[in-house]
Amino acid sequence: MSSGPALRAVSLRKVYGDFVAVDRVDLEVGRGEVVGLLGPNGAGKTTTISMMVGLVPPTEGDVLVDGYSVRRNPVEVRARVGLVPDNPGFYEGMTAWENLAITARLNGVRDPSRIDEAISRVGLSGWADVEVGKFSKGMKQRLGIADALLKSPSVLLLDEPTAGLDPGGSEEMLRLIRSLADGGMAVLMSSHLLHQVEWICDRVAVMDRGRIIAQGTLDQLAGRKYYIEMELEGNVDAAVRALLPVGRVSVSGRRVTIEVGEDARRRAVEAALRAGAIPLEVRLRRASLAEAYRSLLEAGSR
Amino acid sequence: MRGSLTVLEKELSENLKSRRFVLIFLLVFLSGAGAVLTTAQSLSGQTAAEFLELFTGTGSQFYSYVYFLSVLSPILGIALGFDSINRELSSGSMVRLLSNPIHRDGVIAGKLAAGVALISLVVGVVNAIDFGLGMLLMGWGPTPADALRFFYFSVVTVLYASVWYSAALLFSTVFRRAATSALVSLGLWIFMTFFIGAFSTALAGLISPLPSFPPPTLEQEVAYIDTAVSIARISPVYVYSEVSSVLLNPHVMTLSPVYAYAPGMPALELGVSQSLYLALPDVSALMAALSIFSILAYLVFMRMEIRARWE
Repeated sequence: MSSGPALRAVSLRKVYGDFVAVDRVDLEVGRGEVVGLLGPNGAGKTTTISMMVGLVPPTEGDVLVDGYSVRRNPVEVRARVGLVPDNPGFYEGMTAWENLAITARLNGVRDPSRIDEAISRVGLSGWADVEVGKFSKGMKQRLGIADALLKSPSVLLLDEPTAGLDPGGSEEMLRLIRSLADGGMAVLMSSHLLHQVEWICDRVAVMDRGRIIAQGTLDQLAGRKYYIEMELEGNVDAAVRALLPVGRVSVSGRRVTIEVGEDARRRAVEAALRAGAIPLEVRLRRASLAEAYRSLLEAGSR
Repeated sequence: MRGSLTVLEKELSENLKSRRFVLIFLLVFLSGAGAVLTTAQSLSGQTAAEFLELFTGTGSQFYSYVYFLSVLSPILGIALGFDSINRELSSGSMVRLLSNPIHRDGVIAGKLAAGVALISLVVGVVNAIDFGLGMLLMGWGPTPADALRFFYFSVVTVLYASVWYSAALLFSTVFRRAATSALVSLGLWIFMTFFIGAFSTALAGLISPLPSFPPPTLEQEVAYIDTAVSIARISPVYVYSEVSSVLLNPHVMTLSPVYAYAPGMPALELGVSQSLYLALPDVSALMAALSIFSILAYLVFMRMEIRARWE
């Protein structure tokens, strides 16, 4: 096993004719780390992930998994990467156990108890002998993770892992993913549920139009962006005008939100009081992932 | 190798449990058995009848066993192959399969091997049962030479159905929708079965025309028929009917149209090896067709871009 990051994309590029689907993507996922891959539809996430598992050959660049190059050793790479697409494709006429037995054979797993173990790990023990055609989407999702775990991968690639799961199931799934990372697995996960990404991911990479436009921890992505939320009583209109020099102001009834680059609560309260408004509640909060994501995409489109 | 074997086992397991496979098996079996029964009835009064006539249907008013196999073997091959690749692509199981340590050619090789194995199973079982049924109905068995001829006929039937399987596999690789590949496969089968005769004679009329006046000479007629037969031989159905007639009927001494103009030829019987020699060009043609379709399916599949459905 290589001592570097488990997954490393180096200047990855994919071109279809004149269209650049992925443009020089550099991305690393370390062991024990969960990285969120965000971006609007068509940003290039699918193509990037497809290249990472050797399904699509890169035009330029390379992907290294445990030091193995996807260009030179695609089979070695696939033995180390577990892929769970948003709609894992199983043979519907076969049972869960039979489906996983195929994966086990392809990966040289001879011990059948490993299949039972993987099924039990995702909470489907009682369903091992049921045809997958009778499974709900959430159950297929969980079986997809069991399928990926069967090969004991170094890297786990997940797309919308909680799609189709109820809130309890989602939480259980996210805990499972976190525990896999805590056990040393490198996890790259795509999700549109930003609060889940915020909860589970150590780092986030944002893709837009084939490029990674930002990556880092949530603090790094949000930069020095904060929001002061105030509930005012009295002359709100005058207070809003007085707050304009403090930061970007948005108003909803008596609730005022000011986007600032530092803790400016004192200045904001003084400005409101001078304008004849009384702040009933003042709160400072860091920008959420959703806000950071939105502003990154807006900045990218300008 | 491990990948191909796993795909082969998966295909066998999936197909043997499917209703589609059971239905096509029953269709081939019942049609064959029906043809043997009716032919046996028409042969019952003849003392000089030969055992293999049960299958060639000589003297029967109904379609022969060979005719049913020539029509239903393509259906068997098409039914097994028309959605072999595109169904796995649309369901996402191909992505799951290929995200494992398997070479891509292992998938197509496993599917080809599985198709041939399933066809061999159907043809082998149906032929064996109907062969036994023929013995029961006629009250006597075949000579060792007849049994050998029937065995070779079974092998050629497997080859013939495999040609259609490989064509359907190619179409399932080229077309993303199973309905499209099914329609194209069936369209090809309909043309090769029902329209090849009209097509070959029309084309032969252009290449080697027969004059209306003065009446055509023997040489002109032979050239016309020779051209029509050569064109018809692009159809696996025509080629299979030729091979079947040679293998199951020892009196067939040549496949050349000149036979029709040689009434003085002595009525001899060919030995099994001589019949095989006569059938060899047609068998080679079927093998070539199987190879061409398989190689094309392989090339298209290897060049195909298969993406994880990530968005």
